[in-house]
Amino acid sequence: MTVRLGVPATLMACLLVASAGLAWDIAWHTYIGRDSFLTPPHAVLYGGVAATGVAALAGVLLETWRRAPGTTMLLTVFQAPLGVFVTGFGVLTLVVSAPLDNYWHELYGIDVTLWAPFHVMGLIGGLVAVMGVVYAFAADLARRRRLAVGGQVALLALALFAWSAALRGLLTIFQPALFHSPTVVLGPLDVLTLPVGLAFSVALVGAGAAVMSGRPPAATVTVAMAALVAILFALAAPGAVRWAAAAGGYTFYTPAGPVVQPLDLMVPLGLLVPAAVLDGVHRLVPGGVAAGAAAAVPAAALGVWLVAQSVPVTAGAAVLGAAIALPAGAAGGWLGAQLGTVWRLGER
Amino acid sequence: MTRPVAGAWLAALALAAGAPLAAAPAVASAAATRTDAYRAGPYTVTVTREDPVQVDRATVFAVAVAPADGAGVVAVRLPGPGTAGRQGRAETAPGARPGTYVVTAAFPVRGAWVLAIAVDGRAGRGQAAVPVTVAAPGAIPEWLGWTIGLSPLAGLAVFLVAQVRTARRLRSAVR
Repeated sequence: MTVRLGVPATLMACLLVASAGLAWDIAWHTYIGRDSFLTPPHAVLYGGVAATGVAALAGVLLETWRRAPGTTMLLTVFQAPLGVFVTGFGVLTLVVSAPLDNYWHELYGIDVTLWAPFHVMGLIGGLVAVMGVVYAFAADLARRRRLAVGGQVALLALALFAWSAALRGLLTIFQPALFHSPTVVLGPLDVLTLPVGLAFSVALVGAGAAVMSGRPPAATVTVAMAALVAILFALAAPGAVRWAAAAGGYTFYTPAGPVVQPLDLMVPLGLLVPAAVLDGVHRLVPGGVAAGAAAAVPAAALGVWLVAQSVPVTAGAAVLGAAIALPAGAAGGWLGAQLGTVWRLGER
Repeated sequence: MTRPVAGAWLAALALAAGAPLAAAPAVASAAATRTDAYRAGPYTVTVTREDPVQVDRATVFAVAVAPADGAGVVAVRLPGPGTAGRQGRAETAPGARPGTYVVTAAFPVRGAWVLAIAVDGRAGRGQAAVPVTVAAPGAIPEWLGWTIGLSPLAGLAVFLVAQVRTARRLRSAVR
């Protein structure tokens, strides 16, 4: 494995560990609560983040020393593939958010919702870090395409797998829209949030994958990759909480303790339908806007149905949510197509 | 081949990531004013001040000494038990009326402190120990928390705009 591939592969592995820690941490909050900063899930989460930061720094230093082509320069000293820098800045955002999040918990309580400022800041940092890994893989893929060198399918699979983590991150960001904060108040109107979030997320990720790969069913494959990992985490997290709780002598909020939540499985699986729609429309109408808008229709329907499983939903909020989901899907598709173009053609 | 121009967009991301470091938490101001009288040898020292005092902020102690015989007043701040601070001098200035003084002191660490006020005049010498509670920085307001928390979005937006331009350039180069 070359340095150009080894660095993003290491970054992706570290971020996967961090995201496993995040899934564990969310289950920990749900069943035990945040009793201190140094909980077992936090150790995994921030261990993964720290390892990503070290790997990104090592990658930058190594590439600066190698002075190989296909890099971007930073501060006229450091040079590395753009993606490694982007991942580094994502990790920096995560690292800054951690103590601020701890401070926020000390002020506002141990069980602050996921939609708290420094949770969102950390999740944005995670998304940026994931994007960086996609840049790094895609740049090498574009170079191999131009030179007609082998290994393109494996590299495309790695890039799509890295990009699928962005969908998992976006689903985590929109998770409170499922139970705790299903609607957003806009003046006199209530708007269902989840349809908008799902439409934007699946369109962004699907269009990015479709344009980067240039062949169907890239969007469906990417969403399937995200679903597979998300379902594995959803199945494993309750057991991990039970195990750590038994070892540490913790008690649960609910008598039953941690259990697998069916909706955690249904959300990623349900997104396969909009992804397939996106693939189909993208084949007929290249570009992301039409494909994103088309994918938004089943995504919005899924969002309304999912929220209705857990809380009462008014017709007005559902209609407004679905209506806003369409332009959100188009916007996500457009942005995804722009990123996909850079990934398909850019070699840095 | 390297491309330095990308550094601008990366710098924007860096700025967005680093912006929270520059933002200081706001300090809550829930302090009340209190007045207490202390014995300092032959003198009675009356002290009016905020309670609690905010950490690291210049705090005014209005001191009145009776009898008002023009005694000299010197004040020193001393860390109380369990407070990881150091002794320091406080500034003392004469007040508007005879026998009144304005003592200004800043306390660098939250916790228990003592403001020791030494009085030396015609009636004799004495020292009053004024206990001071120094409060920690207050709650960061929610709006500021969200501003800091969402600040990386600004850097991300700048980066994405650059990527949209890059996509246009790459597409036109292919055509």
